[in-house]
Amino acid sequence: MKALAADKKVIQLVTFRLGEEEYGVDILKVHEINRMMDITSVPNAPDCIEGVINLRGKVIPVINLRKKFGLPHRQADARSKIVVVDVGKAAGIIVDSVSEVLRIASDVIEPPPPMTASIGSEYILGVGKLKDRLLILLDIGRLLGAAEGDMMVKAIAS
Amino acid sequence: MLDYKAKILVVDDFLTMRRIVRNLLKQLGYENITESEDGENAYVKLKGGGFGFVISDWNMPNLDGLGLIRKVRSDPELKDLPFLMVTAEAEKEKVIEAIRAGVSNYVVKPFTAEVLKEKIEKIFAKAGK
Amino acid sequence: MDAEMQEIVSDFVTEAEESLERIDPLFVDLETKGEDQEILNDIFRCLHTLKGAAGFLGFQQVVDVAHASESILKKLRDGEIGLTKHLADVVLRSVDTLRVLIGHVKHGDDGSEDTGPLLAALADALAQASAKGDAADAPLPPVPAAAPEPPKIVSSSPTPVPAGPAVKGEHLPAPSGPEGQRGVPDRRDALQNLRVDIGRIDKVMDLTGEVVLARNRLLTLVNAIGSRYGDDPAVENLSETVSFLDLVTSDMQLSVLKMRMQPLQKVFGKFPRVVRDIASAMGKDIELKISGEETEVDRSVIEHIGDPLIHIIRNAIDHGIEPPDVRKAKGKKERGVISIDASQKGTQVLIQVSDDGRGIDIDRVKRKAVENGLVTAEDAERMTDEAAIHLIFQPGFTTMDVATELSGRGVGMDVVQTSISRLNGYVEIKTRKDGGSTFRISIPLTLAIIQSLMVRAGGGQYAIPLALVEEILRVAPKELAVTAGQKVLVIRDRVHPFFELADLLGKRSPPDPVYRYAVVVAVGENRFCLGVDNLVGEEEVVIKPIAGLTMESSHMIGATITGEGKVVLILDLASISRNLSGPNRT
Repeated sequence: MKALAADKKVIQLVTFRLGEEEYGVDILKVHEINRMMDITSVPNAPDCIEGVINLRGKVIPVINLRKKFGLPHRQADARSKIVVVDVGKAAGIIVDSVSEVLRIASDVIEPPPPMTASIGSEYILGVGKLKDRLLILLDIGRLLGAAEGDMMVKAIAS
Repeated sequence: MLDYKAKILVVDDFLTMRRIVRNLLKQLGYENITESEDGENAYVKLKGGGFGFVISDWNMPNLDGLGLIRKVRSDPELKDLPFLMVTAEAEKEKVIEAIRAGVSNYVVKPFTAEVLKEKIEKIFAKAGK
Repeated sequence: MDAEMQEIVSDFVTEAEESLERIDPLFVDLETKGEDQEILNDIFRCLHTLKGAAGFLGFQQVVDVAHASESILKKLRDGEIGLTKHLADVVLRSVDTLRVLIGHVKHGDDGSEDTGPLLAALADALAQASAKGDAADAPLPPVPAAAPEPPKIVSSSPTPVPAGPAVKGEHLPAPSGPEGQRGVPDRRDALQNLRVDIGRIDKVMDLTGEVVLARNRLLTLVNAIGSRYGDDPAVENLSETVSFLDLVTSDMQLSVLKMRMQPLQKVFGKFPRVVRDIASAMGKDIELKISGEETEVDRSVIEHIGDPLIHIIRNAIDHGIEPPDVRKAKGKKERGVISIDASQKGTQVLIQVSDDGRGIDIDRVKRKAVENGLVTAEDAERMTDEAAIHLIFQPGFTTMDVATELSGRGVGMDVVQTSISRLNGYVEIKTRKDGGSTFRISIPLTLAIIQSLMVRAGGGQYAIPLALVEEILRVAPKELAVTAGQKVLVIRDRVHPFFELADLLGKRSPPDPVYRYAVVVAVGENRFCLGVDNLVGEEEVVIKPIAGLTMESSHMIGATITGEGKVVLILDLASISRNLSGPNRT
């Protein structure tokens, strides 16, 4: 009974689109979802750091996931969103659009295939196999850690 | 026995000590507690009136416990005020000096609530006679 | 542990730390002034009360150590024994141990220390002193081999105490006067004071910052509304109310900032002991002069300025002040002097640490920097003296070959630069061969709110800390000259290097307009002009950290939010200045 319950654990994901792919982030790590807003660019910051925003009095960095994953540039439009994630530190992530909040059983998630074609595979927790499509689960902690790491590297190099 | 509503003055230059004594008194059911951080300040408060009991440390700046008890005993308004002296060591000479100066009793640091209760009971049993 | 007990323990830790902090300077005073009853009693009382409270709370190790050293103090006070350097050393050692023990209590880690050897040393020192009786005033005889005392403490004393104290805290507060208690609130006022958890003050501070921002936003809005509906009496009322709010907010902000201010005495109080210990260990004879310790700074400055200052002091004793015989040979007084002075200059605090030692040998610094691979030989050749001295702050710079007893560590001075930069401050060094060195540290009084000049450059808006802005000029392109490939601006016959802010920040420079603005900035002795496109105005800004971003490479100290709710970055002029005068510039 207990084992069954554990197997059937359901997780909630916020899903969003970036280029051709659909990604999911654990809802517990998502603080809020915002429309695009004024982003102040930071001098000498790494490429993937789009800049900083004012989140109700707090200043947090915003990561351009397209740049981080090496996807072609795309002009922000009405559907573009900033997903604010919080893993100890808050940061915003620019995505093409936010799809929905999804509940999936943890047993449909498989480890990332060893040779993932998509870029940024080191930030993938696993792949969720849905009826009609695949969902990439992002390791948001690692992603933020890496963005911070980029900043440090730059500091040393300068 | 000391009335639970009696106003008690706790004298010590160390805030922590005042809080400890206050806490012990609270455990015994005494809530009406005022604090002073040296003998001079305590004397001024005592002169203000209304106190039923004093617990004072010995070693303090400005006016120490011994100075305070001498001042209290030589004051006609305060000469009968029950006075418990807190000392660090059970040094015989010191204790005798304190008793000569007129303390009602003394207690050696550190002490428990029970010990404090015992001392208070003794003081008031004597006073009641 | 119930909440009440927890609170008592946390009070105990605070009080114990305060008491222990008072002991060090008192002791140094004692060594200087001889056996002063008042001071001895003061130290005795500190240990005594500490022991008493610790007993109640069951901190047995604290009780034991405090008791053993208190016994010594009691005998000293009652004139039964005389003060010797050995006694002073061992009591100071126990103060250090007490600090460690209180640290364990503070962190609730149930840690304990092996106090056995210390207790033995205390007992032994007392026994020795008692045996000597009245003869204790005489210079300390060699310690018998049987003594468990580590030999270095005794043998390193260059001069016997109290006959010739190693350290003289001339400007320390007098021990018996009312100011002797400085740094600790006057006991009689204590009941008028309220101990407030620092977390609560910080919370108020944060909220005040938010109110300031909201006020700024309101002012902007009222201006906008006023220009549109200026005739409406309601709007007039609104703008009056907002003006009132504006004033009150400024007052409130100042009051909250003051709540966080503490005198530098809190930090300086430790130095006599530090100087005494290091000087004594290195066989140097040093007098420490302290002034301006009453200058108040934000508590975050208090927290972080100690380490860099101790580093500078250590460096001065280690590398600056010569041994007594060398000084004599140079015709200097045998006793070296280290002076520490603090003062307030506008919104900045200036702390100077000077020594009258041998000074920094700039050629040697250059040589070392080349050896350590920090600069090329050519760069070193071209470098100004001022830029060269700053090489000692480069990570990886060491002068290990001058081996003194202490400097095997080769701990870099880069720590100094980094810590002070974190406080938005900067360091300058003045040095003269055999004339000594002076380290001048400048830090803003408070870190959270600063006056700033808002400018536009390279398409972005930036805030420049106003404290470092000397003047602002409107310049036409033709007024800029170029010498040796560097744009310069001549202001009242003085040549100032001119840099486009946009270039420095890696932004595109706009096409040459007719007029530009030059913001003249002075970071210590380093003056330069920043070319900007436009001035937006002066604004009081709340510095906000940007979580998760290392700002150093960006030349930013943080960000702020404007009246319109936009994020504006605040320039780190010290970092820019360093970069301009640093060895990497082309």
